[in-house]
Amino acid sequence: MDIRETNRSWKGGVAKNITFIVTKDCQLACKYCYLVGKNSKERMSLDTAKAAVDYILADREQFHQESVVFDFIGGEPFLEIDLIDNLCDYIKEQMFLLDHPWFNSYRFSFSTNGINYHEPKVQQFIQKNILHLSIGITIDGTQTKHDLNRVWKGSGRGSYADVVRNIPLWLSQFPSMGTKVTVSSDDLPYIRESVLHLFGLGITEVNINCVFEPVWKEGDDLILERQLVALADDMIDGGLYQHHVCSFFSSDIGRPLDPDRENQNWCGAGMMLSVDAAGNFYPCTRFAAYSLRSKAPIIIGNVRDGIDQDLLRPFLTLDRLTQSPPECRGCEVASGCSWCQGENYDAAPESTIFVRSTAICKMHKARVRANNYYWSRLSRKVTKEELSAMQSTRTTCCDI
Amino acid sequence: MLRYLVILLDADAPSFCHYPDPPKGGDRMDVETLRKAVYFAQTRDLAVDVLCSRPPGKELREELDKINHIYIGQWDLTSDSIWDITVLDTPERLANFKPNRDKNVILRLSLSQMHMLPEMLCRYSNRFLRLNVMFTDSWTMTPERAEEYRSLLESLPSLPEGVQVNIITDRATLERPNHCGAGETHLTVAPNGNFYVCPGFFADDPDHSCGSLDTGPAVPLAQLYQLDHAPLCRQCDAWQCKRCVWMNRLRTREVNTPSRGQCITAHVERNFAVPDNPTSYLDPFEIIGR
Repeated sequence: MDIRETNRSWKGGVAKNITFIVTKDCQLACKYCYLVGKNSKERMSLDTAKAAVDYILADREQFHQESVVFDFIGGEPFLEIDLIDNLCDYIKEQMFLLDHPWFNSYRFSFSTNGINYHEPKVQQFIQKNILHLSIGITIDGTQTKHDLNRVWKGSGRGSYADVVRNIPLWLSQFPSMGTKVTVSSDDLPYIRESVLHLFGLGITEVNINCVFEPVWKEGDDLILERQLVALADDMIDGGLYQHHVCSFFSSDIGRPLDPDRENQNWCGAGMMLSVDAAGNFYPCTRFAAYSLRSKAPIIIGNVRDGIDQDLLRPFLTLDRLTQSPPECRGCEVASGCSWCQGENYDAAPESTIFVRSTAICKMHKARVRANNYYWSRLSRKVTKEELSAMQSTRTTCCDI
Repeated sequence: MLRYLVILLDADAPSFCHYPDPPKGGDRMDVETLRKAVYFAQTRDLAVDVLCSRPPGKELREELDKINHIYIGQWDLTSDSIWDITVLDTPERLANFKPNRDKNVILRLSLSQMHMLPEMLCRYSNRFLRLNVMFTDSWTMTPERAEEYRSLLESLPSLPEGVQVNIITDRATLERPNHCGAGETHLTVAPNGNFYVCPGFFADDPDHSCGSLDTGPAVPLAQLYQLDHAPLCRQCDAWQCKRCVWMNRLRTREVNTPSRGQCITAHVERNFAVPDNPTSYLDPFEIIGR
């Protein structure tokens, strides 16, 4: 397997991402979930979804990208499998009838908790669309770590057993798909064993990131560093580095960024488009009301009136330095330090997207130290050519 | 750095800028608050603009006379002689002026009224020294309408020697940006004794102040009002544009980001004033936006 090849998103950079928030309901109540307004009432209707598709497909000037990824999220998207199945049929039909260039270059993408992955309707949908699908199942690692946060709504029971049973089926259908792991303060001590556990389940790519929210306690950075150093030892000594990827280790993180050449915004908010059950458009799902704990939603239009381009301008002109405080501007290990525009907005003292939250700062620095250790050790183990082949420039996206 | 202070003497003082007129019936600043405002300006070496809905009484005038200041108010028959800068909401009002080469006038217009400008300048350009045309809805400017605006600017009569009309003469004479500066070079103090970025911010939300005369000014995220924190504007040379942070916030939710219509309006004026070096775009977003 070519690690670099699997470590890229489909059509990264050239595809338009369009997200349907099909439901705000979920079977789980994960403790770190940023979705503060989940509920069982806001379910997208097929009419609303079709109206969004009609608007998007009709405006080729605005939606000019050569490819498209239709994301379906929730809550838990597969709770709405009937809607999704009908909607995907409609999308395909309309792209064909309109002779839309996306007909030859589209993906349906899902991030699921995996609980009802095995159910007949979900499996029928997968078989029907398998050539245009990417599905990621979120499993956080060992049962201990997973059940620490990913618990059933109401009972509070851990969901590990309900997810892990579907991993073999998922991997048989999507053998190169990675999983996404979110790390919060309480589960830091379980990172090493969790990543190794996921590798043991047959998952070769573990995309993992610390949450952007201000949850970090004194000393958490040292725990993270120790966990990652131990993981680095295991991956190198056990030869796992050859065929497995943990996104915490990336050769391009931890250096200063050039103020001119590397001033672009890291987050893709505004480049993507989200639509919710009410037919409102957002620059990213993180700006919908159910994602925000302290701010009003940023609605940039709706399926009836279209998008107000003025409301997109801040997102599309925002750059790294403009939103960064002085400590970030002069940071010696800035590369790979990511941010979520929605969390920046939510955490800002005023209603603006132009202030970068630095809650993750010490965790990034800890990651950089462990990452340096990983590559330092690896460079003593493999040839220069092998090292170069393993180097990846990708960092994890966001915790959505 | 603060350079001047706008004293909003009346909460319902008519707008002199892009923001709409506030509702009638607001408070007038009391003498004690005005005394503090004047002291604030005196001790920080600030120039003072006073916005009124009606001329101030003796007590207030005595306080204001402690510092250099100018009065800004809307034209009416009884009080116009008081105002140093007169605000008009329709060009016909200029007919009431006697020829006066010292007069500064602000004319608030919607874009749908811009067709009135040529005749107005033909007839009345001897009645002021400087005319500031404020398009209150410049965010509605479109590329199609921009062509109409460009033609209109070209059709305007030449002005008497020394007379300035901002949309025609400013850009050609500027050597650096001449933005409004609200939140950076000036603040507004309202009758309640609180500071605001500008009178428009007060009108929008009096509860959202940025400090008070008692505690001092404190503009949240003050850096966002500075040019270097405005990705579009810092690369723009339409220097006559006021870069209205109130309108920015109204249209894009961000004080540092102008709407497309604002940019197009400013670039039509810029290209008219600098015909030898026109921009290839009317909206810098076309070359800067992602």
